Amino acid sequence: MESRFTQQLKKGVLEMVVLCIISEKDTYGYELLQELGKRGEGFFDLKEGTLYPILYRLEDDGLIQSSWKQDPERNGGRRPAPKKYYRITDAGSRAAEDYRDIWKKFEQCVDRLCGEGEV
Amino acid sequence: MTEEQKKIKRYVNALERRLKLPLKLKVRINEDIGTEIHLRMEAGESVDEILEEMGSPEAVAERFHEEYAEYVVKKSPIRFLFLGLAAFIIIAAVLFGIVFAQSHQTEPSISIIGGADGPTSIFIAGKTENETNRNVWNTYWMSVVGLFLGCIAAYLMASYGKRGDRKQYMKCILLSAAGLILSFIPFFIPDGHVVQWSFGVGMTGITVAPGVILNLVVLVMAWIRMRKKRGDDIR
Repeated sequence: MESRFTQQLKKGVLEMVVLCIISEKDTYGYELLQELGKRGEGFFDLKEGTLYPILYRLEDDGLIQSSWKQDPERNGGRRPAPKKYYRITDAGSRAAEDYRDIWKKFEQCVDRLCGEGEV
Repeated sequence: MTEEQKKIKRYVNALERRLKLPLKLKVRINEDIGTEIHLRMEAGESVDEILEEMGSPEAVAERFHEEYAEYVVKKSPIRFLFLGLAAFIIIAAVLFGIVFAQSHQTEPSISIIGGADGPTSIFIAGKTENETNRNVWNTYWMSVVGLFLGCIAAYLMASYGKRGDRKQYMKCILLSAAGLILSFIPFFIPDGHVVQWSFGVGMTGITVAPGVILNLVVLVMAWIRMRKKRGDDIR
């Protein structure tokens, strides 16, 4: 079970992390969950109830936009289910840049305060 | 519908029942959860594996509630009181209406002076007993419908709580305004019959028109909440 500290840190950076992943390429909810699980090193094994509210907030704030797309038929004839793809908007790209800057400064400040390398 | 599709439908319906969030948000969530289940199935997972990994509908709903704490809708249990009252009013009104209709089935009475077929016969064209009954009947039903609308408006207000949106409060305002008008009209019609409750307080007898009071209270409350919501939206 995650410590409260890890949970709070995760809560703070989740929007930034999701926005950064979407800025790399258009993606859909399930793919995002998989990507976060794969690249998150154990920190971002999310459930739907945590990811979707983030996506809804980003969309309502105009930082991402969604659209339904259906992939072409595969061999076998069955049409795959339509997917709701999320794409970053211009405002979202600017916000992602801002978040990265703030994060870098924040990280440096915390390292200084806590004495990098010291216990 | 295949067995798998039935399981998915049951799961999504169970989730929707447990989500105490505004309707728009519930629809959005169910759409995405349903889509995700199908995408996972395409990736090769079985329905049982997917649903187990997602967690029970209660657990999923709880996670959404944590993220949307400020939107969680708390429905007051008092709403069932108004719903029960509305049902009681309809049943009582129908029974009373049947009894009333049966006891007032009379021939129209027209007063005649002089011979009915003579040149001097004068028909008194005043209000007949049938017209009086019609007024009583019509105003009675107006009053009943007014009270019924008040109960429905009160039920909706208790369901929406303090977190309803402006459209929902407007619905309550329209219902209670219509109920108030219908409850008031019988007072202005001669021989009008108003649904009223009479009770004694000490030496005094008090008569109230519940339709008027209920609709007025709901109307004022809905108006205040809608204005407050408008103020919050502007901020």
